[in-house]
Amino acid sequence: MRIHQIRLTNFRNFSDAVVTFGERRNLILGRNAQGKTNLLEAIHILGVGRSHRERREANLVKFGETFYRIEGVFFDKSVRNVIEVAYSEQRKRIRINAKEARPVDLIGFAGVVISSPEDIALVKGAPGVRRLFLDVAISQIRREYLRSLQRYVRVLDQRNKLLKQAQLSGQMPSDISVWNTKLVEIGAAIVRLRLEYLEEIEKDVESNFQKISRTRGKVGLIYKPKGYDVDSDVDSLEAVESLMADALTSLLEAEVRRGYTLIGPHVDDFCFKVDGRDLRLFGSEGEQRTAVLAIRCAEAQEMKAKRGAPIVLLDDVFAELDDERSRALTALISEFDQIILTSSRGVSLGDEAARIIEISDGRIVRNG
Amino acid sequence: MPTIGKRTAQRLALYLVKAPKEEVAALVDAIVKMKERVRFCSQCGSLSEDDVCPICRDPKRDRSVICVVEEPGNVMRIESTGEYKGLYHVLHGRLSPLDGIGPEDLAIDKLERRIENLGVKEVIIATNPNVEGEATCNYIAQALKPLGIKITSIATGVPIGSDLDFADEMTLSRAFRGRAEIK
Ligand SMILES: [Zn+2]
Repeated sequence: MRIHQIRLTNFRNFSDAVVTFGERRNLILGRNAQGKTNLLEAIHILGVGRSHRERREANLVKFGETFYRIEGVFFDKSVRNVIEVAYSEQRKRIRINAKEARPVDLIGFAGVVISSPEDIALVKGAPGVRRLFLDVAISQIRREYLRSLQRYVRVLDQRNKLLKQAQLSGQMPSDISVWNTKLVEIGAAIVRLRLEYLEEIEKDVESNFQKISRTRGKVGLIYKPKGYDVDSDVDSLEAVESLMADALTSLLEAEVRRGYTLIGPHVDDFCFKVDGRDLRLFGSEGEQRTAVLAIRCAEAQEMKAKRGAPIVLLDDVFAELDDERSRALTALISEFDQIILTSSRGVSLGDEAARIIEISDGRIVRNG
Repeated sequence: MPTIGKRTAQRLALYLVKAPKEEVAALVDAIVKMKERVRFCSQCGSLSEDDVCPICRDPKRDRSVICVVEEPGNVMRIESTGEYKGLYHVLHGRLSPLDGIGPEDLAIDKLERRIENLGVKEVIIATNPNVEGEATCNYIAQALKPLGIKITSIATGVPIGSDLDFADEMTLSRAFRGRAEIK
C-alpha cells in the first residue's frame, strides 16, 4: 500500500497540517527541529499503531492541547483506504475505513518500515529493542505470529501470577504443568518463526552490508534464547519445544524463588556478527550504523517479497554516511516503491525526481 | 453486569424511566421469579428449574458421553446445533490464576464421580478456544487419564482466540463431528 495524504491535528508540533505524497520518491526538507521526524512518526503510527520512539501517548499531543488525531489516505493499487488514529482522555481510538478497529488490526494493513537515528540501539541497545524489531517486522508479514504473541503475553501473565502464588505459599500449584505446556507450545512457535525470519533475511542483510561498507564481511544474525542454545540443527518446532521444555524444568525452582518466568521469547535476544565478531561489543560506530541500515533495508525487502511493497520511511539516513556509502545506499533503496525521506539538506534519490515537502516550524511551506 | 458498559447502562436506565409502570413491574416480577425458580442442576451444573435438569432427566440422551463446558450458556449454544445427544458437565469457570481460579474451584472431582457412576465411555472437552480454556482442557485431560476412557476435544475445529458462544452453529457442529482424541 502507499500513502497518498496525511492530516495531522495537534500532533507534536503540528496544529493542523495536510501533506500529499507522491507515489514514489518524497523528500521532506527543513532545518532541524521543524517537524520532519514527527511527520514520519505519524505515518509509522498509522502503520503499526505505535510510535517508533515514544512510549507515552500523551507526549505526542501538541503542547497545551488535549488530543491528537492522525488521518491517512492510502491506496492499494486503486483501492482507497482511510486509517485514523486519535488519542484523547488517555484513550486511543483507531478506525479503518470508518470502522472501529483494534491496534492489532493496523499491524500489517498498510505495511511500513522505518529507519531512524534511534536505530543504532538495534545493535548497541538493550535486548528489548531487538525483540521489538523482530515482533513488528514479523507481525506485519505473518498474521499467525501476531496471534501467537498475544496468546503468549496472556499465558505469561497467568503463569507469573501462579509463580507468585507459589513463591508466597511455598507450595507448587497442581496446575503449573498445564501453564508450562502452554508457555512452551506458544513460546516455541514464536521462537521458531523468529529463527526462520532471521535465517530468511540473513542473506539480504549480508549483501546490503557488503554493498554499503564495500567489504566482503560474512554476516551472521544469531538468535540467542535465554536458558538454552539453538544451533543449526534446530530446524523443527518440536526441537525448539523440547529444548525449551528441558530448560523450563531445570529452572522451575529458581522461577518459584523469584516469582516470575525466567525463559521464553520475552527475554530472548539476537546478535549481529561480521566474520564471527559481535558488532555490539567489537564493532566500530561506522560498522554499527551500516549494520542497522542493512537490517532495515532487508526488512523492507522481505516485506516486499512476502506481503507487498512497504512504505519506506527514512529519517536522516544519509547524515552520518560518507559520499561512497551514501551512493551505495541510494542504489540499494532504488528497488523500493514508495520512499519518504527526511533530510536537512537536499539529497539525491537516484535518477528519479522526488516530490519536495518543506516544513518550517510545524507548517507545510511547500508540497510538490 | 457483564458486557454492559456505562453507555448501555445509561440507555437501559433511561428506557426504564420512560417505560410505563406496569411494564417495569412485569420485568421486576420476571426477574424475581427467575431468581426463585432457576438454579443449577445438581447433576450437571447447568441451569434448571428443578433439582435435575431436563437434559439429565431425558432417557433418550446418551449417558455414555459427557461434554465438559465452562458455563451454562455454552450448553444452550451447543444444544442449538442439535448435533450432540449426550450429557453435559458445567465447570462454572476456567483455570485463570489472574482471577484466582485454580483446579479446586472447578467441579472436577464431581465430574470424575459422574463418569464412574454413569459408566461414561467418552468425555468431550469443549472449553473456550483461548489460552485459559486450552489450559483447562489439558488439566482435565490429565486428571481423567487414570480412568482409561476416551477423551476428545473440539478445539481444532473452532477459531482460536474466540469464545465458544461466538462460533456459528455450522462451525460448532463440524467441530463436534471432527473432534480429536487427546492422547
Ligand atoms: Zn443436568
